[in-house]
Amino acid sequence: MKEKKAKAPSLGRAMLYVILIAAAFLTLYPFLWMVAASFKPLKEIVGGNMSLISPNMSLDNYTYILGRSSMFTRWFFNSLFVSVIGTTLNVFINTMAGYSLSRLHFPGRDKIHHFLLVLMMVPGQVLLIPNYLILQNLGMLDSYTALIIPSAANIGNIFLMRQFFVNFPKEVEEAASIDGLGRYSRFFRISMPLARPTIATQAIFVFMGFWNSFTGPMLYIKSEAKYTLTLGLQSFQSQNAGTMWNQVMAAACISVLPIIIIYLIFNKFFMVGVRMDGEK
Amino acid sequence: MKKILAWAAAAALALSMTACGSTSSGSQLAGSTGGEGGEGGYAGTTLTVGIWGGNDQEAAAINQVKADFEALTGCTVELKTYTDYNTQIQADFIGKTAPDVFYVDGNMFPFYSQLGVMEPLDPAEMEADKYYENLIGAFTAEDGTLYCIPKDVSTLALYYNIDLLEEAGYTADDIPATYEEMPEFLSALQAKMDELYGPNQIAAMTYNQDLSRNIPILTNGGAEICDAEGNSTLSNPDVVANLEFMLNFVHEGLWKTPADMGLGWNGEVFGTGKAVIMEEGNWVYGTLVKDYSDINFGVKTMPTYKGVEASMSFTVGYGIFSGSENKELAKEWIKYACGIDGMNTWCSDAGCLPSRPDVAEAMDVESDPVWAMHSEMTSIAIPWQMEDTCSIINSAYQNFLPLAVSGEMSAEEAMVQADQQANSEIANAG
Amino acid sequence: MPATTKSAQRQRKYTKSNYQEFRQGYLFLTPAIIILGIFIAAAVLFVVYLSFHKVNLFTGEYTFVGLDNYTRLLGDGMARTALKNTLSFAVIVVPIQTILAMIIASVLDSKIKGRYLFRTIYFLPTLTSSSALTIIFMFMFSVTGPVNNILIRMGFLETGINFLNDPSFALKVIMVMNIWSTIPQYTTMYLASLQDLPGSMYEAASIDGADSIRKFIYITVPYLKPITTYVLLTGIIGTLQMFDQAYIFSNGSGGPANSTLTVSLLVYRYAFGTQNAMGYAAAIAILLAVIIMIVSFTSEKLNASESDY
Repeated sequence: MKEKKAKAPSLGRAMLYVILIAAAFLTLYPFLWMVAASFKPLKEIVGGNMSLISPNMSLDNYTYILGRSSMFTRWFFNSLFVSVIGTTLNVFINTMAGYSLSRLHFPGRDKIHHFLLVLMMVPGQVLLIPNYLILQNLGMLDSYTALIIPSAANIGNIFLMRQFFVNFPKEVEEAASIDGLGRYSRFFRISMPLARPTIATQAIFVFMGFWNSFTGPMLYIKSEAKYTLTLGLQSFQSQNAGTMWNQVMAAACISVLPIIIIYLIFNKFFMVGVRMDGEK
Repeated sequence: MKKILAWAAAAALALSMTACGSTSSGSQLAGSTGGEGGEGGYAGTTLTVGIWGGNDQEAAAINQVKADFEALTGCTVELKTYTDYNTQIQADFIGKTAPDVFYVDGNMFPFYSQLGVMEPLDPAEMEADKYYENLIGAFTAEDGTLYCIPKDVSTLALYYNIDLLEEAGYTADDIPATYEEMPEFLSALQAKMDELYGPNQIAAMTYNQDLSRNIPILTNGGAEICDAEGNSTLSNPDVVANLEFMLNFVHEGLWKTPADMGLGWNGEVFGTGKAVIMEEGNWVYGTLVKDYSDINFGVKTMPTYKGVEASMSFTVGYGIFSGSENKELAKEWIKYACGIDGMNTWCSDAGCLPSRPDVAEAMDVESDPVWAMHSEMTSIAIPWQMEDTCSIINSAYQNFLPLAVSGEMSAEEAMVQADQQANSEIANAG
Repeated sequence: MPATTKSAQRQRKYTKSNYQEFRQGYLFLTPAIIILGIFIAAAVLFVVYLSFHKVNLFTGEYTFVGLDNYTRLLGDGMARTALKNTLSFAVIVVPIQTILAMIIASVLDSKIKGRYLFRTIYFLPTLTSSSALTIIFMFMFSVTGPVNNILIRMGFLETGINFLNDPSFALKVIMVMNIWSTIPQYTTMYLASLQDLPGSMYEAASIDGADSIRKFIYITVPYLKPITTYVLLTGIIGTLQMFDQAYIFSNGSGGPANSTLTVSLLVYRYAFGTQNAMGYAAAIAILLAVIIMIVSFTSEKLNASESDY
């Protein structure tokens, strides 16, 4: 393989890098612009200045946002609590369900699989009120439970895990069963650890889902002390006189920071997968 | 098996949901007399007030009103800030979990007043005659029942950029007082701006494709955009003639939308010096002073059209939830917040116009030229309110106006389309 | 694999090990089924119930109207427009996002320099807030914005196009925005799956003298097929249910001239506008779900048949 590489650095490869770098720029620019804008005054943002550096940059937007409510830290920890518990539940519930739907054989399996997919197809806008009434009847309004439990399983991710396990070489598991491991320990000690890259992918998107979720908290949470960060930041938005983009951008950066940290933590799982044939 | 169980559970839940409404509202109504206790006798009671988010000044102002009211009555006030008002309050009404007293936007009033979710108010008890008559009218349902008390009002006025005018060799006095004279002035102004700053960099004047802004021209001469049943009549010849007059500005390149300039709203365009003239509400005043402090601006009265003076007014009121357990206290809140002291606090701190003349006088709005102008507009303003189908008609209008603007359709063709769409949507409603 | 299930069912005789597997299968599904049953299936069922009624949720009045809402839907020109927009959105966006995500993932999985850096960079769009995205795109595509400037400078245009307010462009701008923001997510998923692709498969191909394009077509694409099924299905559902970007762009009106009106936007307007027509909204939603079902199961079939290479 090494030799093949050495011969390859041709025009094609150079082209590839040019395209990669150009695409990286297209991808990176809006994100960097958002970060830059969070340090700029409103006037400069709406003034159509697309540059990333400006002499007027300051921490004003951040001090404003962080000083606007005494509950800020509380909201942050509310979000963290809901997201961490929610993600943990999702990882186990979705992975188990995805495994069950792909690797285990039992009557009605494919019907359940299709039934779950069908549930995904009804647009969410029409489910808001029914969901609200269900939570109200269960006495769950204005509680963290309302934010965690209804989202503790996710059909999309069950499906993702199912598709992953379809590809998963069953020889590994069979070897483990020869070693005398039972069904359940085989799942938790062999299959789940080997699914790490996909589970990490799932975890980061689920975490982001909880962290950024807005509609749920907006409808279900009544008391300010239970606000999540997204909801709290949104409540600063004035309904008159246009959007304060400077504050919006600072708020967006604040709420994106934990996700970047989570991404970096899970990064090594994305980057270094466990090759089945032992190659790392 | 599991599947059957799940379906059974689902069915049971669905049934309990349809049944729950009546029982819970019944029990809440039974408890509604519990809160009575007279002035100062509300210790231990919590009143929830539903509001939507405002800027810093507004947030400080509402908190001040809240603190004063708590001191007065001994109750605790909890403010609930809505972020997506129409979605959230509808869920709250359906779940019977709405706040005791809440903001109601004047243009949404006809819709909310017919849902039976608001408590009727006694005009005598609420001293309705102390408020501007057109604002009380805006909160009175068709059957004559009063449901909300206006807490403030905003009006449109004409804003101009003094420096840009000067560069073009004009003063504020050169801005015509009538729309009929506007085109000539604006084309000269636009030519100057193009010459000084390059083509299309600065708009002579901005406009919005929105009924809430275009009504003064569109309904001139008694043209009706909506009939008594709430059906859209945008394509009637009188409206179309007025619309053609308006479109003339656009086709001549004299009016630009904020989106044409790559921005979100007039305030941003004007604030960044990309428009010489705009028509805006008083909410822009604060942000012009604070965020765009280098813009040197003045205000004028809205131009007349065919000799008719007109502006738009936007009002917000307080309504009481019909399922509230604290109706008496809620009334006390309205009486205080919309009374002389409370409204004075709210309007002076938040920066908005009082909805009653005695407070306007007490606040001395005349001392500030911008406030004085907006206050002057109140009497000639058309309240932004139509039948309960207002937002449907406005959506249809916004939807098809661009086709008339681009020239793809005539004004009449576009409005016929808008009517068709609005009326089919209205037929599907309810 | 399916063959064993079928023969087992035909015999109707299960071994003890079979029963153990059944038990594990159901047990592993139970938590998901309970949660989805209570919070999603029940709500969907309620929506189906609503779709046969004229509903006033505020007063709790339900009048059974049979198929009225559905028959009315057939003659609703606006619903037809919404469906047309939504379908054309999906037809363009889904293939592009799937193919690009797959290509980017396989490039980033190959042994190029700086791939870790590129992977991180390409992940970032998922973190950019949607409001930031909207303001950037609205600026870029405005009459005086960079896109028009470039096109004018390159001589393609005389004057700027009003992309945002021109019915023939508005939906296309949203498509670009949607593709730009969904690719990273799917790339990440493809990458995760590629981590498990046995390197020996590529090595064998290299010895056979296959170039990288052939390797991509004959090894990577087939290997990724289960994930592609996932990407296609969630892509179809996501695009056919597109709401946020259309809502922000048109301020909820679906304009100009209904060019950005999507089915979900229509549902929202009937459910939460001043229409108070929850029953009709429910009927539209159910119809959309049925259409999504047909489209996605058809595409799953197509994708599955391609596997017989």
